[in-house]
Amino acid sequence: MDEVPVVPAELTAPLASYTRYVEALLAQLRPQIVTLRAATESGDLSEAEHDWLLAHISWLELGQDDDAYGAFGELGEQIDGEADGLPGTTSNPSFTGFHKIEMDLWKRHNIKAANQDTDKLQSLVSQLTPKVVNSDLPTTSLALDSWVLRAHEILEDALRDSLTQDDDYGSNTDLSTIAADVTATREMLTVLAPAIEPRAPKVVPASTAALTTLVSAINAAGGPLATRNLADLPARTRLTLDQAVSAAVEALAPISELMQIQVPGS
Amino acid sequence: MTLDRRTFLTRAGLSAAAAGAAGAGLIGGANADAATKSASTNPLEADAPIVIPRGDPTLAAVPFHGAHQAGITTAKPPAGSFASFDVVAETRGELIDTLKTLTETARFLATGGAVPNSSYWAPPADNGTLGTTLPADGLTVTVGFGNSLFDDRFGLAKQKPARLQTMEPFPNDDLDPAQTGGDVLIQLCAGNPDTTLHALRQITRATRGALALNWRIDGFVPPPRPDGVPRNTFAFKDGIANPNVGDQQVADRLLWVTDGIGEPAWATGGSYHVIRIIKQFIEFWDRVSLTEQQQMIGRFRQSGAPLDGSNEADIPNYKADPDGFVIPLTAHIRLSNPRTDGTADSRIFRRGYNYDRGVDLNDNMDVGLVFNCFQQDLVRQFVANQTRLIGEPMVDYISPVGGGYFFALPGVRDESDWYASSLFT
Repeated sequence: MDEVPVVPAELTAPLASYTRYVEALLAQLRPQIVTLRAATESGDLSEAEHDWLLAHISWLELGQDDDAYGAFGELGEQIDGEADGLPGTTSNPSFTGFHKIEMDLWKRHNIKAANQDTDKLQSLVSQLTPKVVNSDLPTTSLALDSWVLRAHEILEDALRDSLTQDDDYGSNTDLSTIAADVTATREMLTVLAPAIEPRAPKVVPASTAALTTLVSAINAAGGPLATRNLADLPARTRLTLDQAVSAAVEALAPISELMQIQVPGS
Repeated sequence: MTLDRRTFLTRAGLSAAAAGAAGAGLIGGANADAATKSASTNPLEADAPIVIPRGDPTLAAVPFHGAHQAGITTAKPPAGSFASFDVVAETRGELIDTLKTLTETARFLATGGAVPNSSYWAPPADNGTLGTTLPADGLTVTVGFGNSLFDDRFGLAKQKPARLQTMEPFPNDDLDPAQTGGDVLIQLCAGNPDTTLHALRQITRATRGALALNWRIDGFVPPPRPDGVPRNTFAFKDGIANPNVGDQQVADRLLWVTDGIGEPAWATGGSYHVIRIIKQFIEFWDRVSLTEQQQMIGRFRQSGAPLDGSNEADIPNYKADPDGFVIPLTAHIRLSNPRTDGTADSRIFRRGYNYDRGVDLNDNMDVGLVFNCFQQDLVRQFVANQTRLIGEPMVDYISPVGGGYFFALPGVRDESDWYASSLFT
């Protein structure tokens, strides 16, 4: 039945599950930022670094790594955007959010700046009201087509930004980022599996196996909570990790095509 | 006792020659020995030089002198090489001397002919990679100046081209300072990559101590596959829509700096030169459906035709598709060139080269496009184009990592002229 196009109704239940997933993560994230703020207030740098990582992982598990794919629009960019495209890069006042705090803590050891930037982050995250979250959720066929792309694009981002350490602002937590991307991808796979399996029975098992291999590679490199400069990994470990991410995105790539609603020319 | 390296080599050479003459040497002697034994009986010793199939090996010379530099509107040959330099010469006089030397070197390389004789006491004057007679091979040498040259070092600040600026990152850029900007940019184009590399070696040698190489990148133009405009590494035909600068009126409106447009007098005949090293994530691209690829670009991959057409030369009719049902409003070709009366004078003249240079940190291939364009007005044209492209869907698949803005100098007019002479008079 691989010729049967997806109808929007088929994605209603997956989307509802995904919405509950997002809401639960946001409920987890908000108190983590309060904790981070308290640590920066008390001046405890290592505690603040620890709290930053836990909060960042929650954010990444939303599947919005570095504001990929414009989720939450400008707000998402402010919460987890990188400085690359800004004039003056990291010195630009528009550089805010998780990566700015990361730089404050790990590179500048400036807990006071981290405190101010966490204030800003808290205010940004508080704007992620149910209304904003719902407005990010796809309602049109076009938006649904774009939503299903996340099945492989979350990890495309890991390949592009984390494995190149492009998104590292000093914390050396790229393993955590990749692990969080796996969690987010697994959620997409879980909610979409009922629609995928009748059309292409091998895709979900192959993707699941590739993600399991990737988790093993992350563990072999130190595990999701290890701070590791990826450049320092033994060559074989590093190449195994690179290839595990690449193999996972290859396994996941058919999903977006399988789940397209809009058929060109129709 | 320590031997000076050169002394040692000289002595070794002498002794090898002596040993060869005696027929009992190790290195020189063995070679001399093999040359005399033309018919070995052992088939394992026989040589069969490799043969490379190829068409016409070299291109004809492109005229070096003129009102404009070659390498802009002249034919785009398959090999391109781009090199950025910082000037480390300290005085205005030294800079002028360097530019004169550069002119002489470029003129000779572009013209071709017998390489100069070398003094018996010096290393060879030519690196020898093209043999003893240089084929011109269509070599063009196009020189431009960056914003940083017009500071207070050489007293050039007041002569700076009005629109010249440092390339600041656009929102989707990831510029690496180690491959961005520079005082001087030299674009070398020719029929073959050994020709451009030979030229770069001769140029850097002639200007050593005055011009320091910053960054460089080589590119290539593939043959048509199977016909029409060549393809980029995303497999799409790239460069279909380019203004017709063969029409003098178009060139004077879109390409060349002319009198009376607010530029310093010396700049007339020059052109703003933009280079962007754009990495293309081909592994990611190959995981994207053909439909999505085509929607992002706005053309059919196979034919190159716009999505509302059937041939690569067809002009997309955006007026008939105001909501983007056929060619999405965010398609690359539509954002880049909306084909409205208001955007006609922002068209750029492109002269891009694909590049392919190794492996990235994440074990993916580093391939992409040396985006390369010329225009009369940097801001009105390139910057306006690129601003329209901010956030286009294709940004997930590309990353501009380097390049720069330069001002391609007016042409070297004749045998007595030199690069940028009008800037210094």
